[in-house]
Amino acid sequence: MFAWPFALTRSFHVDPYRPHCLSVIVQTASGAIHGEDSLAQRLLLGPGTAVCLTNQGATSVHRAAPGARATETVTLDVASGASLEYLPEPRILFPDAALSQTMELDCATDAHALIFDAFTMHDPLREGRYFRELESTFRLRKSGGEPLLIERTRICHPDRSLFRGYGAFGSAFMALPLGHDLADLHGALTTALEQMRGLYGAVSASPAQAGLGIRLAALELRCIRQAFEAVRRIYRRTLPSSLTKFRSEDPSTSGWAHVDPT
Amino acid sequence: MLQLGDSAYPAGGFAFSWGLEGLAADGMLADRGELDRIIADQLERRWASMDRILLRQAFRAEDCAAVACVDRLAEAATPSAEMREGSRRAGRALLGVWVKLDGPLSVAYRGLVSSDGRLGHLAVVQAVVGRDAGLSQDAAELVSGWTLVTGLVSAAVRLGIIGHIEAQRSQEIARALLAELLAEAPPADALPASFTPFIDIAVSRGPLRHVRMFTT
Repeated sequence: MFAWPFALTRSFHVDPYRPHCLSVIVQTASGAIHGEDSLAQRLLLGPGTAVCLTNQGATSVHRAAPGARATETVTLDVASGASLEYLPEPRILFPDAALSQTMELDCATDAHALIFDAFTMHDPLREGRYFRELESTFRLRKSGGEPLLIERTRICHPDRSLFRGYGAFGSAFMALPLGHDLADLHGALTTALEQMRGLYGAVSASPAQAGLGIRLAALELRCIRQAFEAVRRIYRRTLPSSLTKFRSEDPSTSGWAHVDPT
Repeated sequence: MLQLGDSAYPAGGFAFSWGLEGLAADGMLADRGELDRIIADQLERRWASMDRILLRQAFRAEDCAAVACVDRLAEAATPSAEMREGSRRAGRALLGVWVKLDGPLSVAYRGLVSSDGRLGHLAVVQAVVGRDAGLSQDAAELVSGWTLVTGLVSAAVRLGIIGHIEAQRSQEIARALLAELLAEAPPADALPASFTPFIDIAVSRGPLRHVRMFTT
């Protein structure tokens, strides 16, 4: 189910590492977020489902009138034994943009999830103007319990010195069931990130051993994308074969998902 | 207030650089100008919007269970394991001193902290010992902000980034910013938030360094 400005069409074979799998691309008719937009998406993954969800491209966030701000809420429920890759393209924040985004992830204790979130700034007239406000909240629960992780960023009226010459910022989060060797994954991720130029980043264990968080600052957006690719490859190593070996022509083996952007 | 804000207060504050050591090691902190900017970021983008909010919530908490609720929020709201560990170590050290000084709330709260590894975050404990010391909430916030400033400046001196006279200049600038921040009370329903990506990354990269002077 979907409503304007969102649209869901057929899925696509666009994943170079899993060419036999489909990617669901949530498209928007507006192609951008405007001053007073109020957007909501809800995604329910059934047991044993493996879903990769992305959008059509980097999303521009345009100026909001004084006192107004756009809001976006994404609710993700991942059932037992499922894997969700929620990989939206970065936000491009224009001068005077104001956005409040909230992402709620509720994972079954034996489910996997990978979440990306990133933004960059664009000042088309090169006047040294930045966005007005960005508030971003990511909240993780396991099987409906109390939040294990609440990452809340708030930036109001930033100036140039805040970004230290870096042009893009991002974070990734892997929710993993207990039993994974977090130290081994931490090492693999760190090694991958250390090899990338123009990137300042770190991996860290999340509260309650809920998974791993990756924080990134990059000179250019392409460095964030490069890092996300590496993170995605490593994440897929953690998945059980039941979530990676299914055949795309047999939907019963890949479970089901319900996407509800409204 | 002077006792709690004294750099000689035996709570081990000298063990924490809150990212300065990492930023210096990564080539992002080399002089006083950069130090002043980082201290301003710490105060404005983390302490005022996160630690201060947690402290105020803990200061108003009705009982130890309610304080623990704020403490668990501090744990969940700190994504970096190294930052969480540092905050708990600093908080537990501060609490331990006040337990030895027989602060009743500190003694009671230590009972909960001992049985739950998520508890003991610095901002929350600053509220607890502030209440035991008879401080007002405003005074507890001032001590919290000021000990952060002196801790950062002291760490910068020991890292050889600035000298003692420059340290006084940095403190003067930070003191003015802190006063400005304290003059404006956050909304009662403010939620803890921050944006200090370079500091967060520098602290999280700590375990990658073979030699370290500081815990954070």
